[in-house]
Amino acid sequence: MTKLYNYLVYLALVPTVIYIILFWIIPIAHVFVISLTHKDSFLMGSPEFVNGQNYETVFSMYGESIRNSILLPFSAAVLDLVLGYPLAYLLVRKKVLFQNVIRASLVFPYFGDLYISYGLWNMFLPGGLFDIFYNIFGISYKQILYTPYAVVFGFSIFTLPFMVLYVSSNLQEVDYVLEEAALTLGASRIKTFFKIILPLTLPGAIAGFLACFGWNLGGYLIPLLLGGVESGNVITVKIVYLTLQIHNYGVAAALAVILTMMTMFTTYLTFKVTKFIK
Amino acid sequence: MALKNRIDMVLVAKIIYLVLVIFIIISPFAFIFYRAITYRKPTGIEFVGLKFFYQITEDYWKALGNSIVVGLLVSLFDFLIAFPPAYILNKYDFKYKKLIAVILVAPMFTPDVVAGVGLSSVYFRYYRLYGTLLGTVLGLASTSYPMMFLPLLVSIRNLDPTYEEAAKTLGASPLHTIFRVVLPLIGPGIFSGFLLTFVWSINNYLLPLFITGPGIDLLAVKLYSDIRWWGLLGRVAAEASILQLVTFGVMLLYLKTLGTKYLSGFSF
Repeated sequence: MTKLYNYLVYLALVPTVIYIILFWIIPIAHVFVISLTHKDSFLMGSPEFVNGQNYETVFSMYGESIRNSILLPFSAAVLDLVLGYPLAYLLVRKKVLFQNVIRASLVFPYFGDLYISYGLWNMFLPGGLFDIFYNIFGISYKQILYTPYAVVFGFSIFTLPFMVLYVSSNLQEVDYVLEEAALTLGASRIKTFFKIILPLTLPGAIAGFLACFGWNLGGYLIPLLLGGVESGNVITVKIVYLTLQIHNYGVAAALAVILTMMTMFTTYLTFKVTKFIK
Repeated sequence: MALKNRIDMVLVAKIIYLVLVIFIIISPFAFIFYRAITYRKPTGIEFVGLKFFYQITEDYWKALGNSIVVGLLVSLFDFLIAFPPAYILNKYDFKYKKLIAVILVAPMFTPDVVAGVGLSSVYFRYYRLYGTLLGTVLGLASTSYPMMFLPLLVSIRNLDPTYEEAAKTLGASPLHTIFRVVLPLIGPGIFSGFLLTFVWSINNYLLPLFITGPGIDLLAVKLYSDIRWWGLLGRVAAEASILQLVTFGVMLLYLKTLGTKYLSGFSF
């Protein structure tokens, strides 16, 4: 009886599994199929298979987008590491001002990139908050907005909370006694940091780095608004343009396949580092 | 004396750093509110009060209503499909457990564009769900249910097993135990998942753009196209402020009642 019940329990998994197969695995598999068909022939009912032609188009015409899609999130992740690591340390180890405000702001990325991009775009435009900055350095807003720097800045604000979450949850597991011991035994603060804290929190920092990178790979509105035509030339923007505006689903799906590969690889590494899978 | 000065310097540097980081994180959100109540003229900036809010037409309020309904349905559906695996993965041991957990969490990291291209094509060709409410809810749930799954996983893991054992010894059936003991005890985890998936789905513009089309007006989608074409108008900032206020309200409720405890689940 108990044995039978144990098998019945797994039946409760069936609806979830069916849902995931229908609404995640099959759609993603179809992206692979569409990437082999000509334009929107798949959606129109009679798929015309063209083998690798779409991929040739992608590599000859959209190499720049792929390069940007890797470089911009990567730089943003580096900036996040520099900005977020000290913040995580201060949050966990010290009592700081505005502790609650900072903790509250850690939920901002779950709002999506709609407000971050729109708010930053308004701030960068003349008449925005950065006017003071432009006046001091005597530059025009076009030297900041619509450059890769603006995109990297937007990306890094968007994902900063991830870095803080990953590093601080790792740091909470590191016993403060270890730091105290190093300090009492005469190590300087800098030496303690490099010999004790950094090696022990490295998994969290790497996981945070990968999470920031992976999350920004799918970012769409930030490169579109802050990067303009040239600097915002990333894979996601191209996919939306190709599908919704010129209905070239074949090439868009080929780009989507490349994007999926990149995010899956990043996710796999993140899981590996956080020991989610062994 | 020299030591005291050095400590002060460190303190000052710390405060400057913190203020700068908070300023950078919060300013984009705050600046949208600011834009909604001011008007830029070549001569300077004029305060206009709620003028731009009165310019928002009826259909935007309808779209807000649609967004809230869709968000609630998505959260409910997420809970229904995320609870059984979260419970079973915690309580039972079986083969490929890790693999199943990974497959359950991985959709969160799928870019919305990829999910959008895939879902829209299968909706068009096979499911006939394009532009329907059902299609929108099921599609949005596909990338958001890990946000329900992870808090549930954490809260069931932290649940003291003695309560369940007590219920079982006292003769409660397994289903009875789940409904009367487990679900009330993990209430905060469920609440956390509900609020996160709700906020996530009312702010998602990219996936509905692919799968909903013109069928149902959602505020985030309308806002997205307004930002693209009329980004400089005060009215658009006012629309963004309204959706932002709803989001902040929900998030404030979340932080007031639960704190950031369940967010740590996202780093596993």
